[in-house]
Amino acid sequence: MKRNVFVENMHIINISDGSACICGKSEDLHAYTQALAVQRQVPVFYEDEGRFEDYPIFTRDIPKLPDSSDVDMDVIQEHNLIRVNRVDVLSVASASTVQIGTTEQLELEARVKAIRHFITDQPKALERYKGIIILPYPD
Amino acid sequence: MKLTVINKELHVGSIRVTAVSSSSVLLIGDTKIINSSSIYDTPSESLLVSPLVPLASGSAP
Repeated sequence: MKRNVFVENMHIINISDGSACICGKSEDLHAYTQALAVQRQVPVFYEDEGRFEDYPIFTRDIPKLPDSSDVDMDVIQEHNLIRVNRVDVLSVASASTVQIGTTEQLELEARVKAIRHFITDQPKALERYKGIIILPYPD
Repeated sequence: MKLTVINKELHVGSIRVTAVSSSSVLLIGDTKIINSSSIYDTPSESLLVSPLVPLASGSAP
């Protein structure tokens, strides 16, 4: 299956966390990402904080569909040009893809653990602080 | 089951998307297999109420 791609304009602000943008043909695409999303009442974070192994969400099995299917697909190519005038995307994130063209197989997996942390000994000075503080991990 | 697909002329005018996220796909074209999975976990035990102590440190270089 061969299809030519003609793209006039494409605007993407951000591609991150194992994502991709492809114009044209690809065969097999595997994207994987894991993330700990920590929100704190006080915006203080530590370098090298968090350990994926501590949370079962990053290791548990995801049920998989069987590879084979009983659908016999036949594709007839009457016109092999894909013409795109304009695509605007603000953000492509967490093992996602934007593709214009042909691909065989896409395998995408994202695992995100959200943690909300309320602080009981909130320092007075930080109560109205709007920035982010990153500290070295305490010994 | 037999499925016949006829690819005719494909002409896209304009697409505006805010975000494609958590193993999602925006595809203008064709594919055979898409296997997309996403686990998002925010259970009650992920709500912490404690003094300001960091999470256990990781193995980042």
